[in-house]
Amino acid sequence: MQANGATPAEALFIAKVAFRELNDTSPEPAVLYNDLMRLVSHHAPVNSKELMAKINASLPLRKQYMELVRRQRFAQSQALAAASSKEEMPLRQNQDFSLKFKRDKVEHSQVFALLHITHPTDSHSAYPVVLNVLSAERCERIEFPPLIDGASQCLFEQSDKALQLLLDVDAEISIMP
Amino acid sequence: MKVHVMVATTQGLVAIQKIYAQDPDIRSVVSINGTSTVSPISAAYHHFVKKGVGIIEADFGASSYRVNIDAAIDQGNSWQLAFYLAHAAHAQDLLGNGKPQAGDWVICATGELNTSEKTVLAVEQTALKIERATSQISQWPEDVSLRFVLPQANFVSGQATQNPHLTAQQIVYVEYLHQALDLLPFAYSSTTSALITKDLTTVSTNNLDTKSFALSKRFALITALVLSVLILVIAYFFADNTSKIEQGDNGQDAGLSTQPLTESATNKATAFDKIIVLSGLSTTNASATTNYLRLGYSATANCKNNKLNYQELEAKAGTFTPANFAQLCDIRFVTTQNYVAVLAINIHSHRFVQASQQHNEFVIPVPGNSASYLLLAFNKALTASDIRQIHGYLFNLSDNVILSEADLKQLAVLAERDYTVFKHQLID
Repeated sequence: MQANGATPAEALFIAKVAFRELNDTSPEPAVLYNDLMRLVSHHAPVNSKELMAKINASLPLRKQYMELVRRQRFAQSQALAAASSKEEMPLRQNQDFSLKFKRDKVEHSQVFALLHITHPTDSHSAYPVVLNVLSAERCERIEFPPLIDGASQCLFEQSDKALQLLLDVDAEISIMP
Repeated sequence: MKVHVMVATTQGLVAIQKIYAQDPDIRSVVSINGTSTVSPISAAYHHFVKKGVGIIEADFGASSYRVNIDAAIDQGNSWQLAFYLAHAAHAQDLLGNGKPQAGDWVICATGELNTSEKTVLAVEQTALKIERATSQISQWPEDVSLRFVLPQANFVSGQATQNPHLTAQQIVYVEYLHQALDLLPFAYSSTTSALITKDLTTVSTNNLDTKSFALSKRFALITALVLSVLILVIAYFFADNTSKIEQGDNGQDAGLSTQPLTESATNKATAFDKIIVLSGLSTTNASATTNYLRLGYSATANCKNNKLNYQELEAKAGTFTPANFAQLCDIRFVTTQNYVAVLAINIHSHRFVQASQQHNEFVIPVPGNSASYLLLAFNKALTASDIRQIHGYLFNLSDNVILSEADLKQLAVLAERDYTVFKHQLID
């Protein structure tokens, strides 16, 4: 099984994960390679939340997911340097994209995450933009609406776990094509 | 009295709860009940606001707004008419929260807008929208003033008879946007007076009762005209007295303007919330190189018929020395530089006035209370569009924002202009 140009060792690892998933008798859904491919892209399955929960609970699946994200991503921002960690809502900015945060003027418990992609693909304007956030504790996919004029935004409650992940200076953020 | 604006949808009425401007880098958004749940029409609303494509920014100033509604609107463009009317009500600080109380106005509307022609386009299922609105309408107090606004292209004879909670005159068909604006309980822009002179068929209902509605507007116009004349007469008499005081005080008969001083002594109660054009007095003793404020104080608490003592404050690094507010009757910004327009903006209330120029003086209305304000002195004249954009920006600032020069730089119309900022504080 040669998955996504993987080496034989990687292919064997993928096959082992798939074998274990298919023989898993628990009521949770099986997570196969195709599911992972769909999750990292904008073609997420309907049960993506359940799948992500299972991925975060399984070290092999998580490792495989993170590997796929790193191979497939369009742009990325590594964990921020310590110098930025004093900011309440740290800005992510590089030559490919920027992600900044602004608190709502009236609803102070709500925060806008503002995404701008410098040179977006066509699919970024036609489909939701997928950000995969890989932190020390978990990985998560966060969808932004399709870009308009190169920009998109999401509104979060301050307590939203997705926002907390985006604000995590130690997290690695990847934008998928 | 508040104006509540509802979007008539096939799922029932959706109330517009709140509108406020946002920072320009945030896109316009429609949220449900003030939560972080965003309506699917947000992208369409963003375009509806955006200048060049939509009309909200062009007509109301800010480039980005957030609208809170009380239920989801999933698709279509029939929300546009109601949203526009809500913005108009918001601009007059009259927009309600979607929960009508006795004596309030309620506008229920459905219609898509042609944003270039400003016409109201036909929408689908108007009969169903009226039917679905029934249960909510029945829960409102009986004395709310209700209008159900529909596109003229959807005109159906006898539509009201299908709904026991709507009378014939409450259903109004409009072809043009300004006709819909005329239904709001305030004289909005200049379109209202134009509309009143138009034939009644321009705003058609399926009942002749429209005539009485239009007649009541004519009555309102006549009343407004009579009041305006009365105010002008009072202002004339008052200005005459004030001129005499000035002449007696300074002996500058030759340098005095023949125009009446309409506001300088009477503007104590003038709020910084509208553009007031004033006439001023010329000054011959201005320094050749400095900008300064000339403050006129009365010896008593009453500005009328009292001799004014003048104090002059020079600007140091753009800031005038704080001055006492008590018994202040007159403020003038005196300059020898080529400024042609001066705005005074209260940094706390964000209200502003445009001072009138008389030679090298700009007369600034005295605020009703002690205030900190910025004076913006422009080298080029401001257009009505500039003023509208500045008004839109300031009006939509959060109440807790203390205005600074940095805030003003966010406003595109100011970024493009050459102006100088002076600061001054009037203290009790």
